[in-house]
Amino acid sequence: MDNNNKVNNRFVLSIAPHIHAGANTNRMMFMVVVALTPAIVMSVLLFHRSAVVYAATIISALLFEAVCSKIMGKEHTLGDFSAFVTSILLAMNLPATAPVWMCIVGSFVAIVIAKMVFGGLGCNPFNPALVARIFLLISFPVQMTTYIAPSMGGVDAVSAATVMSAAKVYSQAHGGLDGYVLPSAYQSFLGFQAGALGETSAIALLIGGLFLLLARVITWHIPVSFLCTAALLVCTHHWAHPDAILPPLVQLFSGGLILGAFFMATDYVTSPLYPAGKLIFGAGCGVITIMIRIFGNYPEGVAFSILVMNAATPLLDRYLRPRAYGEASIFERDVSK
Amino acid sequence: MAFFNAAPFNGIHPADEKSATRYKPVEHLTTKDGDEFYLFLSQHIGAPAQCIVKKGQSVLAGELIATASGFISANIHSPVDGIVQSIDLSADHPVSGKAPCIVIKAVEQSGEYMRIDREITNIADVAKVAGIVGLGGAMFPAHVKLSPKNQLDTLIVNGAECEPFLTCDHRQMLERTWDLVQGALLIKDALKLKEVIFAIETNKRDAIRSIESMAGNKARVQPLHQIYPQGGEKQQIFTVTGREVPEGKLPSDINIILHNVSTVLALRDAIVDRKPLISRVITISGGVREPKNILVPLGTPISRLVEACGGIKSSRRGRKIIIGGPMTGCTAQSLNIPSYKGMNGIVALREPLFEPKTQPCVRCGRCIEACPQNLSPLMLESYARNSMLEDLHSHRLLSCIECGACSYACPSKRPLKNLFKLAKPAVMGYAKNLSV
Repeated sequence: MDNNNKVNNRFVLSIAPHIHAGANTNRMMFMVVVALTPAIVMSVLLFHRSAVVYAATIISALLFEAVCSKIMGKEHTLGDFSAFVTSILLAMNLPATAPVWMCIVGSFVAIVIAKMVFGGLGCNPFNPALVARIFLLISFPVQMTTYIAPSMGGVDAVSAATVMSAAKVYSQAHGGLDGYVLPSAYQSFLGFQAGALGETSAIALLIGGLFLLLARVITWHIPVSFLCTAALLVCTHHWAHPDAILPPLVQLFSGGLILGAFFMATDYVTSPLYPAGKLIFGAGCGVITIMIRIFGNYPEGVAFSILVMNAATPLLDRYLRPRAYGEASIFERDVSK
Repeated sequence: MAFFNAAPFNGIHPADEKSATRYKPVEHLTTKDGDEFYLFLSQHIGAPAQCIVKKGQSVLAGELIATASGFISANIHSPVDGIVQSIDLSADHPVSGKAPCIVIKAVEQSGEYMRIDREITNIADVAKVAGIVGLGGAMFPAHVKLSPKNQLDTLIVNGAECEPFLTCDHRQMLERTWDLVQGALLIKDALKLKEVIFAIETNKRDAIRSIESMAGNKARVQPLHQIYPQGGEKQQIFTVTGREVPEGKLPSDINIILHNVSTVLALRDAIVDRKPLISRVITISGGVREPKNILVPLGTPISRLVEACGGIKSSRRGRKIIIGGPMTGCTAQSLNIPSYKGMNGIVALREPLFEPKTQPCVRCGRCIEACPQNLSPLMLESYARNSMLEDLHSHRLLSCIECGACSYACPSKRPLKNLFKLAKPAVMGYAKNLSV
């Protein structure tokens, strides 16, 4: 048997399992980029200047990520597409008129303060793109709310208010929407409305969201419970006070609801792990969004609602862990142990 | 065909890779004069057997050469007619590096074996004398399972064979169908059980059909979805009967006994043919020139088995030999490893240099989806890395069956299962302190 010894050192040793499904984190992140493509194309078509916003945000975000990795002594992580996704989502939260310096400040907040400070990919408690959006909204309210009307034909941009903010201003001035000219849900659905880059075209976002669901990158729990809760609340309120808020379909397709439900709330790192937690998370987002839209001072509440629910994620994970095989059910457990 | 039971867990779906050997009848490995056989004293869970032969002593096939040294231990018999050459550490062991073994040099074979005493009739005693252990890979002494404290009601014969590449159970189900049914019915009669269920994955429809026609109304065949780890004891019991084995309990606590196909056949051989466990069927597949199922005398070095399959295909990327299947098997450090009772396969991987770069966990939840025990591998991982024993215990680390589904599914290629294996002893200690 000793004659075999000569080949001994050529055997590779490792611990089981020796095969792998071939799933790849980078590819999963890239799928999100693919899913966002229709919305990106749509926004560039609607607002030509948005190309500048995208470019400024993406380039600065990748730079910040690279510099941070260098300072932290880590191998750079640009290949994982996470900074890329974050920066696209951030750009989608900015108006087409956003100045370049604001895009860079936003990228800095998203990548450096909201993500890398916590340790990089997988460690951030809050959605980086939303942290940056809220930061910019509070710090630079004027620039963050200067929207322009879509300029499909290349006509000069005309400044305009978003559906949500115009309705809010009108109802605060007149004590209701009585006499307000309602936009059609059809317009909101296609995207011919003023708004942040990613908040205008519901159809492009829905296509992307559907793709993410079919590609099994995200599960249905968060988007469905988010949108259903929001729809339920809006319908009830609209039924009770038809003059107080915008009609349900306009509500659903305007603002950041679709973008939030499919792309922001489903962020792996900051959303709950288990189905029950995901449902509660989505419902919480829905409730807070609509509460802010109806009763708050801000016209839009998606970003706030997701950030608030991000904070609840560890709690949801801790207490909604599914029962392990063979484990006693919650009711039968011996609490003393 | 009986109805499908939906699997209670998601599991994973690796390519089954069985086509190389699934149509290859079991070949017999002939023993030549001068062949050496290396029999580990520990081929089972529990205390190592005690050697009762001396150097130079001549032994017959089937002769007892080491006795069980406790209740959870097993006898070991000589696989061939031969002379004890030495008792030493000359053979490699895939887990412990080197392990004590009895070396037997074959002489001219009579073709006969020493039979088990006809006086012994109790099934557990026969299993004990014959040295039968769980041949699916667990190597738990069979007589322990066969002497339950309570009245059992169901025997499940595990023919899932969910590990990729392996076909030894499949071939035996086809070639020894009646023996298998007979063995199962013998166990049923001996333990006064109500029901016998054959649990077989649907990638083995031929086996399902032949067992159904052979068993008639004496036993039920339960087709299973092809999901890894469908062959896991707890998963299979739940899929087949809907009963859950409570944490820290055994199948016998919920009145079930579960045996692997090879184990049932070994029991049948011991009871009917009075043959001790001296050989077993092994699938040799993957990157060998001619993949085969071979009936191998225990103690045969795998170098001889690989040779019988035409050798390993050369590869520039190095070679990896797996003892067992690719999901749970261990890698061989050399070809000096002898076959032992729990060895059900040898797989030479064609692309063996799988040393992936790990990435941070992004909490995608694929591992949670994959876990057949409904655990949360990603949470357990962070607890394990931070030595958080209390959380590891409350998140049921000790329920982990180390099937490797989480590591298989992880897109960031994190070594989840390995960490759990390493963390378990500490958590066991913690749990012990809790209960006192």
